[in-house]
Amino acid sequence: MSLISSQTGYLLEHALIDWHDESSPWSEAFADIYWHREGGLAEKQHVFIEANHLRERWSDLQQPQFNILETGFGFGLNFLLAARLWQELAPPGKLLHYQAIEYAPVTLTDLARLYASLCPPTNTEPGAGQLHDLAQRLESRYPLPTHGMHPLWITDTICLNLIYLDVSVAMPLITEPVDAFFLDGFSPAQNEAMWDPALFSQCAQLSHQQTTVSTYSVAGKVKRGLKAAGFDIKKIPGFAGKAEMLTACLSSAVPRPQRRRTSRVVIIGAGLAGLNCAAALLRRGIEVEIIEAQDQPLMGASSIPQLAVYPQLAAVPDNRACFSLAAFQYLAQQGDYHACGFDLTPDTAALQERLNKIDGYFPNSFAHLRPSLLDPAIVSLHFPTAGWLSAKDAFSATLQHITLRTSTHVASLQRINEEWRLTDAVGQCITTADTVIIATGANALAQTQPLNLNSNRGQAIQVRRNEGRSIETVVSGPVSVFPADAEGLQTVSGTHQRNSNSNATTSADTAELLARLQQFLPGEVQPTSAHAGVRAASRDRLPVVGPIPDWTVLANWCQQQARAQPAFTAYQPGLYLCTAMGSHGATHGPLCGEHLARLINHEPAAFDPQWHAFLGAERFMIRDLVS
Amino acid sequence: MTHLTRRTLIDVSILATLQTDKHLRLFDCRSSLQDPAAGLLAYTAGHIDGAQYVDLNRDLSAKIVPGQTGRHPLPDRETFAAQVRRWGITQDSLVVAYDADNGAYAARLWWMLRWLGHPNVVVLDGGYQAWLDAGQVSSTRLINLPESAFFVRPAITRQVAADELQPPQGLLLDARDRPRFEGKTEPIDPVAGHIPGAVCAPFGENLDGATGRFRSAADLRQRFNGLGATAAGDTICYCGSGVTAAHNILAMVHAGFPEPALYPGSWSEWIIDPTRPVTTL
Repeated sequence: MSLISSQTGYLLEHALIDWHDESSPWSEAFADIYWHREGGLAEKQHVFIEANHLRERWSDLQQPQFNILETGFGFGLNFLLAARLWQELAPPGKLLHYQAIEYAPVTLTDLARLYASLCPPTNTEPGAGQLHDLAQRLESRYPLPTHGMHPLWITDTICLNLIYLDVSVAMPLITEPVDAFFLDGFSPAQNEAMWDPALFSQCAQLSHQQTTVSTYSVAGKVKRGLKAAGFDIKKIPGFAGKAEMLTACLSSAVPRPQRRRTSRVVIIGAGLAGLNCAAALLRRGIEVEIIEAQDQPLMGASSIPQLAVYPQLAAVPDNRACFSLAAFQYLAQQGDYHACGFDLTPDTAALQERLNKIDGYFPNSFAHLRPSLLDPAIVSLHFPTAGWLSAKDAFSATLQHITLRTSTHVASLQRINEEWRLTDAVGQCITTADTVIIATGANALAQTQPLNLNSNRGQAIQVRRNEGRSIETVVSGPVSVFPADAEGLQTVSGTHQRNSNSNATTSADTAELLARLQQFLPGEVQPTSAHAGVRAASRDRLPVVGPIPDWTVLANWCQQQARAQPAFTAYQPGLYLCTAMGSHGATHGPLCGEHLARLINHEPAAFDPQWHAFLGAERFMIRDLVS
Repeated sequence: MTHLTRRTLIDVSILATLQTDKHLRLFDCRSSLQDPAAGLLAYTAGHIDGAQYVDLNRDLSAKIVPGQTGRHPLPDRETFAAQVRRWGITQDSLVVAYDADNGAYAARLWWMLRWLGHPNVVVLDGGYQAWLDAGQVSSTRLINLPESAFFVRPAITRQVAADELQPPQGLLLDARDRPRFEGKTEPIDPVAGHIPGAVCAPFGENLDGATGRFRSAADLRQRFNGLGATAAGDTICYCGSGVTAAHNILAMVHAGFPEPALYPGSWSEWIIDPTRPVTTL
């Protein structure tokens, strides 16, 4: 199954901007201006912030999060204004989810150019400093324009999700109720497709009785569409005596869905998968307890001192590559790793061919070809923004804020009295919880056995290189070599044994790594430590992340799949899985953890919900039994 | 960005691993009520590498107005925010404060940053001594960070004024020692005694006497339950001048109680108005 097969490249086309002057960008494609320059920010404030009564609603906000959906992100001015108000008013601990749909994102250059003239650091008017700070935060996180969702944490409590898809494709992917709609974007006359009746009925489906809609447009099509979808519309004066604008709310009383709040989650496994889930849950103030079989966290594969951070791409954008790129971008915007660059050196002609193709998709600032540091005769693909991280450093604060129970082996997980009971090998209860995430590697528990995961062993060593060429970026090829860490030690990795469960280091592997290092980077070295670990991997080498199916129901569902039947939805209550990271836990872990935290906390999705088809636990059984 | 849920205390071992974190902002709050110069001298002699010096009187207090304010009046929020910018704190910063006196001065900075709406602030458990005891080195390097963008957000803290304390609505805790509470002695302020209705809760009892570290959350819960605190969140804390009361607030938040309110003026402000009642035992 490939949901992404229709894509021909990784990246969307950027909007073509014609600058009439520094503060009035003009869209070539839509022959329309982005806003009326006489009004500028004040007009946006009037049409979207004030018309949705955000000041009143946020001053006394009871619900744990507030969700805005915007059509037409453009230069993000509505976002900046909303974010500034949120910072001023929102009570601590509440989250703003601002989802913005855009199918022709402006370039970072254009964005920065406008911000430089519109919110310069020199402006001393009240609130201008906040706007400049937010604009800088957005600039520094502004993503590559890949298809799909880009959740960006602009601050601790403000998440902007840039959804780079056509509105008609994006709207069905929005699953959580929306509190305010900003219907912006080019005018119905110039961009007829966006203002389709389907848009308004999808808005209605996501609305509740407090939801407000506002738009600058009073076009007949917009009024009719909103009314037909079940909205009461109201014309109100436009900004500063300008033409009128519209606001709308549902004509029927639909209460905002009340969701049960999860205040505590138990995670089985304190590796990269488990700790990434923990970090994402802590961000939401959810208490976390981790049960770990070994006597310390981050043992096994996560104990390797330096872990590679880079996207795994393919010659054509398939599911795996798009997921990996989204995960890398999610990590990269937070910047909590050593972004020293990453070189991928091919060791086969086929791989060389693949890297050449990948290079063609991306701007040089993201990936470009250059002579390999391992062998200048070979052309490697260099990712300037990739690098490495140390799991120990990355999670030191997370570990401080969870309850961690080590040397505790969870032998079984049973559903008793509406909660999960974790018991050890002698039947002693370890703890109970409403919500449990299984983030262990192997197939230790009955609930994960149907996944049939593989265990692959890998070994790495740390060395002090006393001579030879110094390495400033991560170099990955027949052997992977990392730049020196704070202690001057460099990790060397690259041995793999499939289906091995041994955590023990071997001198044969150490010798092999040293020999390969000598081949490419000769010079005296002194090995200081060796690390081996077993990594779980799935058959399709993608992680397994999401709710755990009721396997019996799933088996029956698969048998009857020949007859048309509704999508599979029978999951075990409060039970989630985050595993099979392979050797990519450092890069893929954060987005997986964020995804689960959002499912558990009923927040808007971190990636296209349809990706569940290739990341969810049921995919293997469905593939086996349906065909 | 580093995320903490229990935003109260941090261990030396964790701080040691965070020292290269670009978001870390470290503050040396060592101070002495008796000798205003002692803190700076101690800092100059040696501090945790990367720490900036914080002066209780200069940075964490406004000017004393005789006959109107207590000994450590709060500056206004914008004035303090300007100082926070000079320290290079942004809203992404993880702030760690330490002192050498059981955490009372560090707790004042902790409280004041939360007052500006910055939740990512913790106090080093055991202070500078714990850092040295763990075999960590000291440094004399001075750092100067570029001024940052920092904007005030809604306060996480709560506060009350003197006129809300007659009588107090809820439990009123006095962080000073028992002899001062009882009015047997008063080494600093001109009048001895306490605010009527207050309960004596010396802040030193938040600590384990043997180690100088905070007692466990469970122990602290028991301590404050014993003093009459409940989950209702109606506790008010004061002390001599609004410094050590923050220590009790930190201990209560650490123990899982709702955020208690601070009476920032505290005893030294209370006694300025001779019409306010005073209790001695």
